[in-house]
Amino acid sequence: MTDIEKSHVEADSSLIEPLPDDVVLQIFRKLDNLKTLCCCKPVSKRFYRNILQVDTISFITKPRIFFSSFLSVIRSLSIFEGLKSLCIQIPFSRVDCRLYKWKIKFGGKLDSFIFLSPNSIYHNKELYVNANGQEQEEEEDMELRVLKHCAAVECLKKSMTRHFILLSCIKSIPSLEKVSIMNCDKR
Amino acid sequence: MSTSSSSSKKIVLKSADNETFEIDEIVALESQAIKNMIEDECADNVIPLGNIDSKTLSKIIEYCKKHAESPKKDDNADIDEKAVEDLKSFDAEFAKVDMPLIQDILMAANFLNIDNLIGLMCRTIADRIKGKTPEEIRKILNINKNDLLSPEQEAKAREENSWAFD
Repeated sequence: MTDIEKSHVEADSSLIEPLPDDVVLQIFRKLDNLKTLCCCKPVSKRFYRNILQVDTISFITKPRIFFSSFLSVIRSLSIFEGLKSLCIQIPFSRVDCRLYKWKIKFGGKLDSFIFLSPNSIYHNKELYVNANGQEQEEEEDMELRVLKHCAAVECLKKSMTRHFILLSCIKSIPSLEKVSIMNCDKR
Repeated sequence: MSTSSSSSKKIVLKSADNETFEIDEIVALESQAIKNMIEDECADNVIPLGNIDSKTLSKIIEYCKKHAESPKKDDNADIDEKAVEDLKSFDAEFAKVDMPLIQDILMAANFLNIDNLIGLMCRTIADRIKGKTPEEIRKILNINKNDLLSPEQEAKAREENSWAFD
């Protein structure tokens, strides 16, 4: 495929130029991936102008995200003036175990945190970040329990990060109508 | 003029290089622009398409024929899976052409208002520039030198997304 394309490098007219803006924008809409869009941005004036009109963007973060590095991502997103929908995918990091399932609800503060593991269930209502329901599951063998607590705290940490991401997106990009944050395999 | 039935009515399209293509009306109706012309009864026997050459036009007719023959999604809810797959692989094959032809087809599809085809061509271009560096994209699309950003603007555009280039 690339060979065919390269053979036309010598041709003298730009291939995109005669196309109307709405068609060019349609091309970029198919490229909703942020990284690709960012690579297209410095390509030409036309690209730069049109790309900023894209309204749907998705991207995949590194498995472990740090809030400070995410700020620069948000900064690069804030130049998309009409951005309406944003989809952020966070891949599983190696500490994640697929056997654990968790669900967390936020209102103004943390509302509830449900954590399911293969042979026991934690259900901590009205849990606060610094109190992780340590009095539960007493009869369980110590080692396993510690392990699960670690996993639970890890999940909680992750979800807090996600929550912060969500809030900062909404704050910095006023045009946003929809944000979804998900794991890679939960499409 | 003694057309036996409306289903077999023929439409003749004439390309910029004066080649004529006789096609079934149902095939021509894939183009919203031609459909409007026929409905408004301002289509003569021959529709001249002064901005589309015969190579592009024959590709477009090939596409419209295939899509006109295939069952439409809104015809019935549980549409034949095989037909959908068949159309998908046809589209994939159809898009395996070089960039200048893709651009010609896209221009013509835009003029003739054939939504599916515009979508297919845009997706094809998008797929070809996915994962490429700005320099590679310029080559693929043969971006005109006088449409480049100024060095300062380009540095700024790269600065805004320096994290994307690691």
